[in-house]
Amino acid sequence: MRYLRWLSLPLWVAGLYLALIWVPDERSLGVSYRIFYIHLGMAWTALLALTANFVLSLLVLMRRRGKEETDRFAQATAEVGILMTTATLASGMLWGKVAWGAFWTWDPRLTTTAIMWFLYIGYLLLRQALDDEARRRVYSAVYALIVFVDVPIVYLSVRWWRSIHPVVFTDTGINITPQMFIAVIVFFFATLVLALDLVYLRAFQDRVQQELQRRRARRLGRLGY
Amino acid sequence: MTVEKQFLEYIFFAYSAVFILIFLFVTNVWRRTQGLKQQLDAMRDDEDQEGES
Repeated sequence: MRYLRWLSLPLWVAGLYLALIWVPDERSLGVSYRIFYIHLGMAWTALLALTANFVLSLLVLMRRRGKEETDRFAQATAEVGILMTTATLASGMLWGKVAWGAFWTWDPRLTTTAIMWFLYIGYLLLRQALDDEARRRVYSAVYALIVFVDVPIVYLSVRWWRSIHPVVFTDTGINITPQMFIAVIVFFFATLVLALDLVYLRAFQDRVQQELQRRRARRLGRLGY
Repeated sequence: MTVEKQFLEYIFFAYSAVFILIFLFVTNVWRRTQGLKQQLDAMRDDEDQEGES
């Protein structure tokens, strides 16, 4: 997995080249449309990371063995999902200022994304608040299953309600030119590979931390505490 | 300032914001992991010495 970051680097360079130089300006939004590529890559990866968090949380509740490792990855995917959602909101707000003249509007897509961000911050706070490992594992998994409801709502919000947010995939097909689509896909894979690397890095950190805590507890036990 | 120049500024801010966020996350996790690994190695060395004595 350590090779992921070396795959991520050329993908990012290619993505940046395609998005900032290769793709021509969009007809109505002009040069400002170039924010779209990084924004979309981050948004799709965030939704995928939080979907992975849902699947892993389900496995934590269903599996009998390997719960600790699954839970570790569930936490890592939530953290990376929050990071990517924050990046999506930050880049989206700047693009919104150019396209709509305001950093924030209470558009369904924006509102549901902000709610999703707060819900997953709550997931991390819940994990922090519980000391007992087994309880933390179960409670946070149940919480993750409940709050995942918002993830498909974020995706479908522009279809369900009237929205000013652009839609890439419509009933009639893809709403962007083939050149734009290539840049979008390259940027998406660059972000996805980076996210996978970050998840593994965060899970590794947690593994080292738990090993350290276990050894400390064993030593204290030997000393009679 | 022309509109195009203003748009370019926003593009710069958007990409910079994303890179700064990722950089902060990576450096934070990386530095903490290195610190924990050092502590773990030190503890393993202590345990080995205790075992020998």
